[in-house]
Amino acid sequence: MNIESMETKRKITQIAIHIILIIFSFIMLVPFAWMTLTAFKSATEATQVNPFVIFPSKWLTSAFVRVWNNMSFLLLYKNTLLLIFWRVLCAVLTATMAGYGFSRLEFKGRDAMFNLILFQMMIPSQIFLIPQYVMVSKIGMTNTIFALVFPGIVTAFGTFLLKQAYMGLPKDLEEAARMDGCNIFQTFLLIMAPLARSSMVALAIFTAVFAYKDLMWPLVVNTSSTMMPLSAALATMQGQYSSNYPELMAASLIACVPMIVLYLIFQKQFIEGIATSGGKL
Amino acid sequence: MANKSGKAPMTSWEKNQFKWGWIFILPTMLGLIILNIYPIFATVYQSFFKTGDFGRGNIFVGLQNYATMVKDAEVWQSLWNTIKYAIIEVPFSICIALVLAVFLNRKMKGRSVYRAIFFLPMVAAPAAVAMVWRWLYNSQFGLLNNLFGLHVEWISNPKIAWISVAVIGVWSILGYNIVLFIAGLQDIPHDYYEAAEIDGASGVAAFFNITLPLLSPTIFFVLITRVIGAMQVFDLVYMVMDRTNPALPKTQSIVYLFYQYSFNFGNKGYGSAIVMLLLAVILIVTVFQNIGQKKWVFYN
Amino acid sequence: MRKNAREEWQKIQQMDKKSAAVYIWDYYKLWIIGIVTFVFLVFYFISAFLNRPKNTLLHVTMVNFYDNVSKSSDFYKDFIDYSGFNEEEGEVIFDANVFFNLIRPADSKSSYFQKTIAFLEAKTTDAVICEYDNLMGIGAGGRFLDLSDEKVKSIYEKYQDRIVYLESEETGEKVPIGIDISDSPVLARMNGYADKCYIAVSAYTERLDAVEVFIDYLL
Repeated sequence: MNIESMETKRKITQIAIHIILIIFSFIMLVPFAWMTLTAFKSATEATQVNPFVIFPSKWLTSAFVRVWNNMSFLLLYKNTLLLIFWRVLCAVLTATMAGYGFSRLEFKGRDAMFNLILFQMMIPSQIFLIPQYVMVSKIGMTNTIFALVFPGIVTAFGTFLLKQAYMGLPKDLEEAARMDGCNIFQTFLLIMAPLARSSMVALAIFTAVFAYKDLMWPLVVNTSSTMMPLSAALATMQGQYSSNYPELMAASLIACVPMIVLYLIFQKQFIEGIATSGGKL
Repeated sequence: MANKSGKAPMTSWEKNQFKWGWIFILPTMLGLIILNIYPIFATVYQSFFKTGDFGRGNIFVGLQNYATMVKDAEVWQSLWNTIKYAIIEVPFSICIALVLAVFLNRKMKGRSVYRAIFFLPMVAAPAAVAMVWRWLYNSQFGLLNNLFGLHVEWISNPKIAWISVAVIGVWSILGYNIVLFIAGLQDIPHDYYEAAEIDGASGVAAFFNITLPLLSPTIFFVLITRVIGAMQVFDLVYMVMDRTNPALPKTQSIVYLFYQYSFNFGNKGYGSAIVMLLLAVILIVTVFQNIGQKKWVFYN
Repeated sequence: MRKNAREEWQKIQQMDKKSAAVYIWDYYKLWIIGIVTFVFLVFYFISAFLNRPKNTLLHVTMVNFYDNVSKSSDFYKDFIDYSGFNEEEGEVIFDANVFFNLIRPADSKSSYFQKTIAFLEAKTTDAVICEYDNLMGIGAGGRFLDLSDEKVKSIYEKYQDRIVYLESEETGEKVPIGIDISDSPVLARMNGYADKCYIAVSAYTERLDAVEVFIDYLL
């Protein structure tokens, strides 16, 4: 095969991939586009169901102004970011440790404990709401950041994820470290945990998104308006003005800006991960 | 090793592993027992009672909730609906996400832009997602019917409503699966691909011979968690199906039914019994998956 | 161990200040971060414990109520004056951040319904004010007190002519669960309900006296 035809073949593949990705990008973008377009419409225009009025007849920014003035976004950002920070920290820390224990060490009771982890994932989360709320209210910690973080201190999902990540890593690295005189903790901290970094980042993204979207728990546990995260404040707003879609969407857009920024930062970390380990198709 | 008969005393290496193993898992296990395991036992206990009686107290009914459940056609219909949903959601969301993740892991122009776009649905407002899908599926003004000149009742025809719901399910879970697959792909050492390229293997061959086997622990993880997640589908049904929708009996999931009994009808005992049924089904599926993994999951 | 620590200390003392700091950070940063976080958490919990909410005197959930019922509202102040509750002893809470309609459910509203159920079952809330559909909807779950119960005899006798009944689908039994408060002079002054509204008592509450005071205040 000559080099030229290989080059054209490669180009064709590249273009085909771009086309597929662009099609899927459109599908993924629809709700977001709808949010943006609705935020600029007038309230009456937004509730028309005729599909051929996609763009606002007049681009209004009044919804953004009103929402920004009515809601204390800085406070809400603060609460949400604290919630995300502590949940991500706790989840990544505990899951990285437990995942290592479950995958690379052999000890009595390990499999039974891991089955308990799987078992927990099989129960619908609605079951946990009331008992967990009773716990927090009994110790008098409602309306605190701790209360917000509470159900996310540990994660069965993350533990399982990290366990799988360690299991994919080669065994000889560990043995080499042991030969060099590392004890189990040092092997974990210096050799194995850094190698599972991309799974840790994935877990951090997941935890952050779930913490951001979690509505049920904050609504129950933090009723004071100064301790609410964004999700609960948006729901309150939706409850009060249920038909005013432009304002609701404007508020939702303002709310997700920090999440997108956070993701872009994490994503950079993601790509740096590739640069070191390399990876083409 | 030295003493094979009876209880072998632990070597210092084994003791060390035992100590560190428990130290590593202790925080997680403690949290889990307080946050989750105790409520689960409370649920099991509750399933033996008839609850919600205007402050007169719960009545012990033994296994009656289970006996009623076995004969309850609605429960079995919901379970079947849930299984049908999972059969569509799980394979489609995994296959599409896997292909997209492989594409997104290539070195190419615009990769970060694509990745950001695929992340966006995860942070979109649930109200926006609900509105968009309702509008797409609307039988009179909906985009789908208008665009293709159809007159299909996407979410009120019992025969197709469950597929429409599953499509939303696939859509909403794609982004999560992609994040997980990208994480897994990054851990595959580059040298494997270089070796394949020297051997003249095509991209497709490399995908099947290198990517799939090395990614299999991640795929296994996604499979297990997605099956569990799909069997617990609730928000989606709640979001698009009105309570008066004629297709509701053929689309409502088992968790939806549990929610109805526990929260709306106040019959927590019966709701708990339904959860136990769901648990049993997921448990069986997971055990089979765990046995099956030996055939196709490769660990180093 | 001890010997190591002493050697380490001597080593650090021999360095100049800047390189000592770099050395300590390089080798002990995990310890430093861990200890600082731990101390922070301990202080956080102590302060949260000291500032924990006072005990509750009365907690009322007001479903779909669009007027201000916070501590700065006239409604709140007026009720404190009327009831003679001492704010030093505990809190009176009116929670109007609850919106749902059990006939027309939609997206986030299911969360508000679950919140109400959680508040009832966790004994957080003592009474619920809502419209007819929601009253019957929540009532069907048996989470409201049967008003013919001995415990609330005085309320039952006082407001007998206002009571509404829930008919059980299973047994056909009629249970008194709600009190019509649509003509309450207090609510009339506020931008409250367009339709008729009712108050129901939680089946789990332990503050029946306070609830009675509140109903008296409303009517």
